[in-house]
Amino acid sequence: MKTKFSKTLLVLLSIFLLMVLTAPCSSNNTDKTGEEVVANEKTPEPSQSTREITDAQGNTLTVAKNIGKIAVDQWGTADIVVSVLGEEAMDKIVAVGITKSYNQIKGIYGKSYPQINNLPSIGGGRSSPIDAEKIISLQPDLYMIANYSENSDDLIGKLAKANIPTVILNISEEPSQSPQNAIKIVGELFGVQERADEIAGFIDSQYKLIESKNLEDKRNKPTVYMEKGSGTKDEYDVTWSDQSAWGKIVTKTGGKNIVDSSLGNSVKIDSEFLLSGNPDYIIIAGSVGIGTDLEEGQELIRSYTQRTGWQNLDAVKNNNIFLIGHGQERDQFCFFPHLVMAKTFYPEDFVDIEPLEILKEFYDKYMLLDFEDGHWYIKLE
Amino acid sequence: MQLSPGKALYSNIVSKKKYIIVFLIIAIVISFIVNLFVGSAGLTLVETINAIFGDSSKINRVIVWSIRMPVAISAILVGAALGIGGCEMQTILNNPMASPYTLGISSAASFGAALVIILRISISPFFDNILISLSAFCFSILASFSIFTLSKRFGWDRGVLILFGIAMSFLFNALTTFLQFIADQNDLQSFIFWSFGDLTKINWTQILILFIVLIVIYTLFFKKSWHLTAVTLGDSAALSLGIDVKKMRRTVIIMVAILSATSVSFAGTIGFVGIVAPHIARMIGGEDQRFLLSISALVGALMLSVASTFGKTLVPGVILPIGLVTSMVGIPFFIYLILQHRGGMK
Repeated sequence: MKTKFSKTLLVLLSIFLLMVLTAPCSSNNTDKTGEEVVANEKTPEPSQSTREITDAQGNTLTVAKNIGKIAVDQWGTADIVVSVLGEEAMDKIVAVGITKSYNQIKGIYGKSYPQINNLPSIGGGRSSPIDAEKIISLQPDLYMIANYSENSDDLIGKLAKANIPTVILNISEEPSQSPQNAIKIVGELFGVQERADEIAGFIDSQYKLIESKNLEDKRNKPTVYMEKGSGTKDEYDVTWSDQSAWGKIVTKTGGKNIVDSSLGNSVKIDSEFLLSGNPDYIIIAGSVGIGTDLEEGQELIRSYTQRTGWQNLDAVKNNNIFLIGHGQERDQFCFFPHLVMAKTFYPEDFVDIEPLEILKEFYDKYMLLDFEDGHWYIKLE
Repeated sequence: MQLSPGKALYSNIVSKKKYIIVFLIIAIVISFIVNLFVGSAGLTLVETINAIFGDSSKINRVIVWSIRMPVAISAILVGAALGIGGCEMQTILNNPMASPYTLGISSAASFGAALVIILRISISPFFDNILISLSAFCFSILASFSIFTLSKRFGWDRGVLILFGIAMSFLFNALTTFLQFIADQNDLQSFIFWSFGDLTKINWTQILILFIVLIVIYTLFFKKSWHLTAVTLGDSAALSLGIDVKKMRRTVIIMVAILSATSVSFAGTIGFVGIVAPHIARMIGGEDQRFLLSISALVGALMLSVASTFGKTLVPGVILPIGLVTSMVGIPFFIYLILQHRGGMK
């Protein structure tokens, strides 16, 4: 019995391991759809109506020459398409994945562009995976996602079977460079490179301005603590090290992050560590942006300041605590937190620079939503 | 020939149970068909039928064959695996709270998956999903074999097995919590999706693996039906009937571990079904393992198949995680059954 049982067990384990390990090879076979499925197939075969492009992940994709419809993973990605295409984007976007602010932004766009009110849901967000079936049924020419979004091979593979290529935009790797590269790829996709170059140039000029001040070489840098804005009076949320996107922004703008990467890139720190670090500035990255309520923002900052010991922090005593949009560290508006921090840390170097004015100019030139539709930076009053 | 009253009664009971099995199979087939016809693409009945038989546009065939069909089939296979696993764990541990995850399999699998997702262990992006399944499977088996080794010392005592299972769960939960603590938001999100239980990522190869493992283990259990029924009478009674209870317990544990580990490594942790399906099966089919095993498998399959359909329809435009749906749909039904049977679950 023992030998027989051991043999059965061995056979079962061998079958499992063998099949798991050979799974990638077997997926080269013809599947039930009757189509030849190539393991690394991402896109349909090139033809006269298609062309090849390389996305930020280095994937060579075959996309339609004239892209009519696109589905995107979230409004953040849609924003890039909007800035590049303008109003035309509202007719091309046929689905947007759900995120926390999905309905709010949809509502604002929907007032001026009624077609947006009819966008079907494709899932997404914290509790629901992206619905491949729904995307396929909408038959977009491509599905566009940010590199930090849900981009499983499984989803990409299913869409590829239906000849829907997935373009991955690398938006977040380098906060001061990646969004511009993403904008240029979108420009290339839609054949509007000039407009894309103009937008990327606008953003680049803001970084050139900051770099011209040599902030990273400054002595006596102000110390900075950042925290995600989902915390409360009693509970700390995560902070980020200098290796994270927010950390890189602080470094580039001449601040000294009190959290280094030895603690982890995204960690909740001990309150004692913060109190002993006594930062000069506290930055809360929270829900600030389109549709933000100013008073709610102030209330959030005040709740943070009511934490045990915070009244003794220099940042709180000097009202150097502010709220800025979480998510801006990985989108095309990333120049704005850069400008805000640079001016906050070194006001004498940026006397004539008004970050909000520059952001407004960007909105007026390239976005469909009004700058006045949101609050972008809230300082403790 | 006239049957004696005893034989007639027995024959009546057996045919009643056979009818239950036939009824469940019909219900599963109906549920499977409904699952195939329901989806966010809004295909009509005719379009779906045409897509099933290949006489349709490529888009519709992809929707039906690459998206709906794997989910519909895997719901049945995973449900059956959990039903069988729960049934046999409850039988050999003689404990109504036992489930396929009693030996810490789900916690170990979660840790295995979290390890790959959060520490971003990768051979190549193409292998990531396979690596997650493989890691979950290996840790599930590791947890089971650790308990297996430890329990040897205590003569496979039921209480010791359960306690080691609890200890193993706590250990792997703690390790997983640590990984979650150091995870960044996106990795945490991916892991949360995995841990909810998800049938949409199962591919045809995984379905084939699960099918083979399920059939082999079901057959082995079925062959031992009489022995397993005797075990439910208690260790002493089973021993007096000539059954090596320790050996039986050891065998069942390993087979349940393999079955559950395979299921959890592909579909994530889907709770509830493994505990409840055997109870429902017992209420409608009794303790006789010849029927209890099959009915547990069928009830588990039906529960997950129905849950999969509900998951696509409860919130329009959103696919709810299957683990969430099994609880939301199943718990009220389960409470109703308990009330109907006046708490008579042993």
